[in-house]
Amino acid sequence: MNKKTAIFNIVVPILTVIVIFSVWLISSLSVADEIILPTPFAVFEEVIELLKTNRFYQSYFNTLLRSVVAFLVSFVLAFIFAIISKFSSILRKIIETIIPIIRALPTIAVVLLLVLWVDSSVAPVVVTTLVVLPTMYTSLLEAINEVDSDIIVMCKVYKISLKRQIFEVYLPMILPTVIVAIGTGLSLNLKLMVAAEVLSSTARSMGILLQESKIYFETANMFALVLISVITGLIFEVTSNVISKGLRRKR
Amino acid sequence: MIELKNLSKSYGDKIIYTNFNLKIEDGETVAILGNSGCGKTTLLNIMANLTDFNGEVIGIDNPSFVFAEDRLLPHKTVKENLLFVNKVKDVSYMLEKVGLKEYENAYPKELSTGMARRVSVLRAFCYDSSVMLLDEPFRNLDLALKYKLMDFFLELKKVDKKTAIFVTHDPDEAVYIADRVIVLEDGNVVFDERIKDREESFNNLKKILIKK
Repeated sequence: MNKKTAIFNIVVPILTVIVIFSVWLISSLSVADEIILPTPFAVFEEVIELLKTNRFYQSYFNTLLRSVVAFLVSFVLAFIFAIISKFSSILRKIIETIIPIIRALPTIAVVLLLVLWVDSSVAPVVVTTLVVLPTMYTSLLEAINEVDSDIIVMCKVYKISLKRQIFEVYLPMILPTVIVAIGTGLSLNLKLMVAAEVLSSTARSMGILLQESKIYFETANMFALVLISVITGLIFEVTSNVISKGLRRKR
Repeated sequence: MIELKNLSKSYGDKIIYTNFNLKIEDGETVAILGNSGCGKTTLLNIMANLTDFNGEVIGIDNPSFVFAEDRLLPHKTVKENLLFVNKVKDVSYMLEKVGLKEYENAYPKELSTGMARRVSVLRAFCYDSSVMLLDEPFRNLDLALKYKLMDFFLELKKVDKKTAIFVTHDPDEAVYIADRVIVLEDGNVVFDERIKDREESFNNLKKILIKK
């Protein structure tokens, strides 16, 4: 990595975060009310306090587990739909009629309905799956369509079966894009999951912790929970980007 | 023997072949030449069953194909690329035989253009078939590399006497590696000669191609 790239990749993001925290600090000092806008220091203290409690870990990992399950379901469905769309124009038409309908579903209305129909721990999983599925489908289909058509002709000439084409050509060739999509998808999933948990009042979840903080005006605690969610989402995105870049460099 | 019988092919209103016939002996290397748009590549695509057509293609079951580009899978190593089209043949032995053994674990990105082309030619030889189709396999290569690759092809051909049918624009390439040269024009064979003397065939080809 040369000096210029190092500045762009490391120094600029760090400076940006420092600026954001400075603006936050100045704003909170001028508001001078911890209930309206706590200082970053108060929030960091709250994060440390949270990390000392078992209840936080239980809620955090429950939310994380639900996010991963919802993501896996939406990813597998999106991949199956994308493969079907690639190889069957009739089924693609059907899928591309359904996907915009799913995309247009009002999230809050779906959560409220699901709470009536299913358990409050399942409702956030279903709603998150439904919201992430269209985005994931579009990314995967785009990646599949970008696979070099010359390679596919080569497969046809050498009589490579469709199963082998899917697993040995399409899947590995779209892997770098898929890994980035997994990172952003998981991050988006976590954000949606917390929102859905708030609306469903899911027990032992990040959502319910946020809800309680709101009820008891514990704004610093609320900020701390948000900060932890943001950092978790960023970890997903950064990790997927690093893996994807590694794969691209190798090819 | 390969026999193309009463082939007809058109793209929309444009007729490429009408009742086209051609016979090719087993083990022969045939070069097909002709101006752009005369149907050379279409003929290869018909033989490879990559396009619809009317008529009969006899004696070609599972042809191997060398494209103008290497078309190697970027995520597979050289050895894996060869195994991708053929699970049976001993590719390590083939790699050793042609001096590519040290590259068997290299990825296509790590190979030079010439080396990648060699692997794609070798892939076609590794494939279990008696017929090989080549679509301008030496296009866009510098002269030295082109001759190296043609010699590589001839070396492999000595070991595995597949019937080879290749399309080219270059009469020099044609007489260097083929046993027989054919010139197409408007979907018909206008020149067909077995090469006895390279120089003589080259001059004959030049005359007919320039005249066209």
